[in-house]
Amino acid sequence: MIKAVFFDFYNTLCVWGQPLKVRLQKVAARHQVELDWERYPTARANLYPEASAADPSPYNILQVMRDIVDSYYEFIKALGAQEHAEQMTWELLQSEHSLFYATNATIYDDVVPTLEYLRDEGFKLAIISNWDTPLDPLTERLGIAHYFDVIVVSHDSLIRSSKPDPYIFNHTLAVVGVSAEEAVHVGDTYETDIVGAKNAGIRPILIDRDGTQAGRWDETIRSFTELPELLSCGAGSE
Amino acid sequence: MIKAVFFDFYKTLCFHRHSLEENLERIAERYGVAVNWERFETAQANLFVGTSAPDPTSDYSLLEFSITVMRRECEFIREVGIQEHVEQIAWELLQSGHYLFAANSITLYDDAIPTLQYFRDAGFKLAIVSNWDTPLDPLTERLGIADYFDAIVASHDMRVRSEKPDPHIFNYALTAVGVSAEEAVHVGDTYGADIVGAQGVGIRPILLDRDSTQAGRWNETLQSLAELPELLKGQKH
Repeated sequence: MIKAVFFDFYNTLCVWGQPLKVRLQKVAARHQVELDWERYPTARANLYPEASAADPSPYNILQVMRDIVDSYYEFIKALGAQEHAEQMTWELLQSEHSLFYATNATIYDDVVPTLEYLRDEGFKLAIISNWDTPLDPLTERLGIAHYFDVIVVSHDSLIRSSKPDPYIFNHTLAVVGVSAEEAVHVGDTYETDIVGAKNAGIRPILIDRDGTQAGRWDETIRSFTELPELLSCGAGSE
Repeated sequence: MIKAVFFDFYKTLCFHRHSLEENLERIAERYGVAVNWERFETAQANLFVGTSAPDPTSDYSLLEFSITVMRRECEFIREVGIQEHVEQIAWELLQSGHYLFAANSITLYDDAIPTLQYFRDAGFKLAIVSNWDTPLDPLTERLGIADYFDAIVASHDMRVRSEKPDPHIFNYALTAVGVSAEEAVHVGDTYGADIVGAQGVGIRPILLDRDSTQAGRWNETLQSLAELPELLKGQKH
């Protein structure tokens, strides 16, 4: 019987509301600075390319922050900004980067009703995310932190393991207090969410919000609104 | 005839819902680490000395300042006896409390939005005039009030670099909004910055004394922003 539902975070619960380019246009307009948009593709490609691939084990949050600040500053300067470059960098980090504030982060409309339903039904809930900071501050600000029994993040100094590594899943099972057979994991990324959950013996569910992963995995949903039915019919199945 | 209303930001429109002490307690509990509360006051005093705002007229680097604040926060965590997860706890504490990181804990007073809505609907120009270490656009956007204002003027913004009671920051706001000093009022909670500063440039100052600790300090005094519409009624054509 299913007793717990685990969720991936980015592109499963949460999305960035506006593209980086739109945010940057807004910041530049506010500072009345003309940017060279022809250089955008190159500058964008050079913007902290190793961020998501960083190995969680030797991770030092202050050093990473320093690197990210420098990388965004170079990015702004590469687009030709000279005046107010530092201030524009800071404003962009505030809207864009999870290490700062990420005011641009938004939850999907179907998230709160689904979490509300599952909590009321008595399921244990957790987030399992590959993320380079703890997610407690951001989930608190998004108003969803209180739904979860635990929020487990790869780069958290309490964890230091990223999906598909089994450790991060086993850690979550232990904290929530259920066995692998009693949990499902919902995520949008096949290689980390589906492969990782399966290897830990947890039933994986793929969420394919934009319909680009058809046929990739048998249990696939397009929206969270399909989840309650899937769990009531599929409880205990393999 | 009044055409514009200027507001101070901190303690006028918003406040910190949780103190540094409360945030530290909650985060330390999450990490299962003990805080030596006997050292808290000294550590807090050192933290403020190490991270107080640079002179806005100096050519300081906002990015370097961010890194300094982060480093000092780590030292603060060690000073209260925490040895494990120091950097991460420091980062979480900054996220919850520090304005450079937009501060989860910063909350609007209940009377802020109704008052802003009223004055915008009545056709007044609105501005924030704040002594603040960073631009206020990201934070006011997050609080959902940015769209009410014709100008958001922060002392340490590179485009401003002047702090109340200096006349430049008020004159900058008057120009940005497009009104003369006689056509504006400024509402704030700090006598030395808000009242003295506004008066110095000929703007009518209004003191906001939310907790009634400044009785008799200034003739036009409010206890809530909800009293402001009545005070300015009939003063706009």
